[in-house]
Amino acid sequence: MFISAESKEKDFEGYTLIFPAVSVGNVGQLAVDMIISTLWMERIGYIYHDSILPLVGNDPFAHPESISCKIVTNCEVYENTENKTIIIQQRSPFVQGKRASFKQWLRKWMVEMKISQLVILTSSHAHERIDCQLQGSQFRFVTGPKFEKHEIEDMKSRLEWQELEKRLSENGETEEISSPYIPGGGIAKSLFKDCSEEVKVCILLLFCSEGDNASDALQLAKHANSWLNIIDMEPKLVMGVDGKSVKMPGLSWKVPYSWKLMFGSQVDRTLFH
Amino acid sequence: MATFFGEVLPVISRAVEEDDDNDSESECFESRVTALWTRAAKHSMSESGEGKLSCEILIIAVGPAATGFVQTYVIHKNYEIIAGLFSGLHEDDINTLSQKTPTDKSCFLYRKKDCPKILVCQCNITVTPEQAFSFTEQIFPSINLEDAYVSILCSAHTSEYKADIPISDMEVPFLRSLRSTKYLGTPLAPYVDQPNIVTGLPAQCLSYCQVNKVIAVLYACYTDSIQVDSATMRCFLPLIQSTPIKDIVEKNPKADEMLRTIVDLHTKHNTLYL
Repeated sequence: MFISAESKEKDFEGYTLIFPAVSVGNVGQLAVDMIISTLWMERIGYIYHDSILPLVGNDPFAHPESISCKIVTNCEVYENTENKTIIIQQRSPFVQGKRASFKQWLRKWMVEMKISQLVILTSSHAHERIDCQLQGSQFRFVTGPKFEKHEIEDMKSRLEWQELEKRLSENGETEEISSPYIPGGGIAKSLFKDCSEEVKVCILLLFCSEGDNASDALQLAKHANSWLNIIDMEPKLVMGVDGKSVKMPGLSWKVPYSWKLMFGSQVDRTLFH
Repeated sequence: MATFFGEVLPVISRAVEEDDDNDSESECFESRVTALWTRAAKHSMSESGEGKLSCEILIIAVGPAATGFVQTYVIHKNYEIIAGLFSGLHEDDINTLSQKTPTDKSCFLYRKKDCPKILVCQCNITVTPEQAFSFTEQIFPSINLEDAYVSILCSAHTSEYKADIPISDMEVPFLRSLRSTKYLGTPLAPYVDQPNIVTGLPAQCLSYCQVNKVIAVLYACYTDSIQVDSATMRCFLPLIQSTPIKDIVEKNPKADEMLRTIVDLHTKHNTLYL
């Protein structure tokens, strides 16, 4: 269930919810980390659910010099009121056999909170690509039935995005739009299927392999931002104190502090002498 | 795909099956924990009005090092068992229900006899991360934690710790801490620094406290020994001076002896280095 960090009631009418699926290389989660860190989004609550494995740690977005403690839990909700965006960051995998109960809960919660749009960030096994996916952009999108035609056209022409190619299903027919083929994409596909009737839902995904997926995450975050426009990267002209306009640099991507030591501790160098 | 007989079948390779998102999968292990309360505990619960045990201090020790420390320095005198938590014993597990043999896989909630607002949970059994949620749901709602101080003690191996300097250059064992937002003091050990995390039952307990706005602190001891040793248990010793433990400890003249017995229990059956 959702437990608000403050005592006041929350209402997310008209909000976009970004939810990363735990998938290959954790690209969705890393991309979301990047967005939260760049926007300094505020943690507004926790999702306390028996379907997610327990985890605690110190603030992943802390300043490197910080010596305080602000604990994080396995699943938390972040908000940016300016852009009407909330993000659910899930930090550990699901308990086996309990994915369905989480999806059910999330669907109900989204309807209750009147969330208008769900964006699922995920990734798919690179080794499962078909010939036409090998070259060019590794980014794909899938939209739910609630998307208007012109919105999809806009994604294709203005953003130059490619829709995920449809595949043949087991009985040789082209798969339905409600059931895209995303191996390694975690709950993205089934969540998409479950929610598409009630909420406007889309999946943004990247083909990738396990490894150092930081650059994949950045790419996915950039794609999401080019569409949602939540992070303003453009430099702005601001009126200075002396009346002259000053050019202020826009935001730039900020890597979370917790991404350090990605490959473990330092080892004693004399080992290799 | 063409078969041996030449027909063409639309067969999908096994490799492309989506095995990672199967809704119909069932829980392949028991993820529930059962708590059994003694008559005395049930009686105090019903007396309290809201059906909860009143509590000022709750110490939760997870794993052999933490339980060994608590057994030696905290609950050596004047404690009674008020509940047992069971998370799936195997048929062939040897259990004495007294936490005095190395194979003993029990988990008990103790209460101080002369001060019933002090509770100690000794968890010797391995509670899997999947069972951790159920574990907290079994005990926490029965305890009134509104004004309580919760202290969670656990241990981990140094190989799990990530640091800028090689672990071989660090002095082991060492303590790290985390606190819930409601805990306003400064813990006695440095904080667990990024990107390190604590998982499993201790993490679940602290998460429960964080989301329910309970005052809680977690101490993790990082050790490089595989079996429990007295240095690891003594690593928790500074906590005797810390909130909330400092208010409840009584001196144990036989501490060293007890520590030795605990180490013996865990190492006796290991003949590798004899």
